[in-house]
Amino acid sequence: MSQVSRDNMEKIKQLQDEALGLIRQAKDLAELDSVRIRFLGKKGELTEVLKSLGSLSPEERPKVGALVNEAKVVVEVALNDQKVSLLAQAQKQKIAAEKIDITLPGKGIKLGKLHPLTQTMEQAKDIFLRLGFEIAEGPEVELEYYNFDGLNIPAHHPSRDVDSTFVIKDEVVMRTHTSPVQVRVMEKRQPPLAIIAPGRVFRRDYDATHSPVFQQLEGFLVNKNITFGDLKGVLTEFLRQMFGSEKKVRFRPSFFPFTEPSAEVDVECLKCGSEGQKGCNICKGTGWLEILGSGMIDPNVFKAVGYDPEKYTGFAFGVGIERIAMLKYGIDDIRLFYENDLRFLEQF
Amino acid sequence: MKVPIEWLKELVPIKATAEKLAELIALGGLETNLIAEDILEVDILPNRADCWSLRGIAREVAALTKVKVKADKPKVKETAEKTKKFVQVDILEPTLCSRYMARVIKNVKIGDSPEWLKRRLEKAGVRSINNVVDVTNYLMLEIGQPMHAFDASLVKDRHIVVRRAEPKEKVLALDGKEYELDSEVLVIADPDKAIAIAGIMGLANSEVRPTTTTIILESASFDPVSVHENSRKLRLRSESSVRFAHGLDWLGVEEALDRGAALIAELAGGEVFSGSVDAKKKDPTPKNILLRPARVEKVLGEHLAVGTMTSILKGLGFGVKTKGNDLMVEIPLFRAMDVEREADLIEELARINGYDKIKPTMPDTSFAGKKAPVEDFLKLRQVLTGCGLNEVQSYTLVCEKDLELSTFPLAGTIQTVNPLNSDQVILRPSLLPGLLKIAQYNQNRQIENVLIFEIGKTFKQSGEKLPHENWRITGVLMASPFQSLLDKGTVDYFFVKGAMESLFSALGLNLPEQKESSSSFTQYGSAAEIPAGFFGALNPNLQRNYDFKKPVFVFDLDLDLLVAQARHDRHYQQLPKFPYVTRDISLTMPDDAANQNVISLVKELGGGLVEAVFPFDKYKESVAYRIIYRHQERTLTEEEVNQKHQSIVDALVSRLHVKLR
Repeated sequence: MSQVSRDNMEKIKQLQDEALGLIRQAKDLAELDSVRIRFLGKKGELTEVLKSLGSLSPEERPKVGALVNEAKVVVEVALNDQKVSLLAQAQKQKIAAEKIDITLPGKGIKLGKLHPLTQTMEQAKDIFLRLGFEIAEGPEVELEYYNFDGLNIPAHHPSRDVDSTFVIKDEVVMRTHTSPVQVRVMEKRQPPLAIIAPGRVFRRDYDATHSPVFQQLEGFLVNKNITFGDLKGVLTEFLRQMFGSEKKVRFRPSFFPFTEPSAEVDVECLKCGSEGQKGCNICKGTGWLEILGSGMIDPNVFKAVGYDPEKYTGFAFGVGIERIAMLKYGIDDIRLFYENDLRFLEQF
Repeated sequence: MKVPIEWLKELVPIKATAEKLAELIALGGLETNLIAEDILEVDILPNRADCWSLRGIAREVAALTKVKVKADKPKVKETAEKTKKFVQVDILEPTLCSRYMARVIKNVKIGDSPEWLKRRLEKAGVRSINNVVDVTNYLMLEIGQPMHAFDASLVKDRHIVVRRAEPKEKVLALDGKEYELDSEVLVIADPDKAIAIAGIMGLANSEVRPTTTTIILESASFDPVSVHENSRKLRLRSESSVRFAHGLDWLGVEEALDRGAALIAELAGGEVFSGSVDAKKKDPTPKNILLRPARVEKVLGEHLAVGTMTSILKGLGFGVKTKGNDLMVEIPLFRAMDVEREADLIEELARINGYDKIKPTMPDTSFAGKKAPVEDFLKLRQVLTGCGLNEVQSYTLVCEKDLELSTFPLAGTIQTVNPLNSDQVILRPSLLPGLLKIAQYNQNRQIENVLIFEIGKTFKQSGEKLPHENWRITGVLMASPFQSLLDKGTVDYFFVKGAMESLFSALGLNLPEQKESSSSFTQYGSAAEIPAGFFGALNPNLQRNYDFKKPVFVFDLDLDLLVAQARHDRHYQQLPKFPYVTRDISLTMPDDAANQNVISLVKELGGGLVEAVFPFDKYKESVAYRIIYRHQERTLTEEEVNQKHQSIVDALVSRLHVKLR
């Protein structure tokens, strides 16, 4: 081996060592790249050695050449390793820098809540809509005729509770129930009808369980063969969907001027069950909660709207939404619904 | 009505425990609670006139348990003196008094009642007064027929006249209060003066007192409506008036009188005159009603055997005969008030047989012609809760002060003539006064962020009988809408406007063109008016009236109008196939070149090439707009875009007087 080639080999070794050293010390990708350019670039130091092979003898040329290429590979591998490690390091630093307190509150608008009475009303409406009922509406200020007379509640009758009716003027009152909608719909349309009528009603009462404004969901079904059994079926289904399918339901005879027979519908106490427990603050120990009034539509109501009571039968019912909401949510004062304290509303 | 169980047992055999008895009566239709070991409290339904007595309850128990009520005819020991010679009765108003009976008992000694009687009355919630009055009360409780005893020496000429009161006739009733009557009120009178308000209360001038020796005992039948109305008008309710108002058993009039006379004679030691006065037109006859078993099944959905029906009806005291396939039912006079039709009989059958015996069935509701629900209200509620607003429900009735605070004019509003209290008088003409009050209520409870809305009806005079009712959607917003205070910022005009845009979008609509709001609720220059209503900053006067600590923003829209305009139909538009080109311009806006004018002018001049134009940056008076150009059928050339853009810029400058920056 000639002195020349020995020198070359020495130089390659030196360059390789130097490059590996610099690669190890490189602190970022830019530094690493300058190392690459210095040794492996077009005019890089190892590249230059390769270029100078022409001055070597033909026997020595391949040996030195192979040596240079070997050095280049070693340097490239080292460059690559260092690059990966630098990238990993950089990412690690970035992650560390970006660390946040993941328990701080979320960003954005605080979602508002629907009023609990709306939620209860919607739930009740939904059940009847799925059972095939449609929605109708009537005015909140109503003619006495629709509120009383058309519903078989004659003037001067004890069942016409004049004292709890807000009067606007002669023949005009604030409706005391949603039942006037029955008369209004039946006046305009012919059976079959399956209607619910949600809305506000008004009575001159004000205490923990009575509000001068409250909400009812009226419903009625009129067709050729509607029976008291159908009334029981539909209302039982409603109460089970509302309060739970395991709850017992009972129908008690009652009186409403616009239905005959009439029934009060009770659901077993949500707290202590149908046996009742002494001192229960919900059912007062009776085991039952009165939920809604109902009955077979009185023939006189049909006659007033020109239906033939021999041909058509039907049932009607009215549900107090506040009462259901109070039971479902465990609210003991009806006035909370209309005070609208946000600390109350946000609980629902 | 209080029902002492031991007394009830005298009228009907009862084996059940007190608890079971209460449940039995309740499931028969009269709400019943055990209020003491041996006393029931029974709620009498308005139609059950026949139940305003222990006997009525006994009849219920008998029908429900298939036993018979105990009954025995009263036996009166009479003297030779004739009642008819001693007392004369003239009914001047036979429509208001269909029957007036009287008996006379002399040589009575007024004194305390025996202990058993006092105890029974006390358990039934009635105060003992003296042996004569107690007998009338005792029989009222047991039979349901109220009676009245007069001191015969205080009835002039012993001549009783049933007449209307004179206008403004003043009387002193037994409750110690003076009442002014009118000609609608029926009175019992002697030739000189009224001695009782018919069916409601006796008067002090003729009452039985310790010195009384001769008694005229009255048992009568008065018109229920007249007693109900007069008792209401005079604000004078008595155990007697309640019973008369519901209607009484015709036969009870005589029975009570006879038993009363006998019992007074027994307890007060008197002698009963022979016979009684019985002034009446004619006795009513029991009504007969045809009951068709087929109809029973059609209404109840349950087959009842004719035998079952017959036994239930007989158990209730009704007469039953068959007539072909049907039944002819005779209604006893004590049920004449509420059983008048076949439907009433069907109810009797259903309730005595038990509602629990009727099987629940599901009706067919699958008929055509039903309106599908349009859930716009619910949709809007959900949009607003998504925008951070809580739904409230405020009272429909407001007061003058509420309107004053919000400077809403009182004119054109509607009031109730009989308000419950002074806070709830006026039918709300706007939801805002109520909502502002709620905001203030919450602020006063240290709640800083108040974002609320309501969907509700407002009322105004219409010229028709009924007022105009208008659904509104209205809101009040104050302070931060954010979950966390780390998110800086509070609600402002643009926050409210964003909510409005979302509302319109949910209904398939664009927010219409805005004008300066002229509403007295809003601050000029910081609020917008659209055809459906307004939104923006609260008028500073109102801000001060309510003492709001942070700026308040409001909106109020006509929901009827919005829903009428809502578009539920959607049509697909093909997605663009070619790229768009954007151009930005920065404009310095003169005062009157509102953003909406820039946008509409650009769209107008775009001629189908402008797909969108919107502001994307704003600094002081200068606003940067981005215009997006696109052709539906090909890629636009730079040259085309430049040309169109230049014409738009020129027009903005010349027509809206904006300056380019």
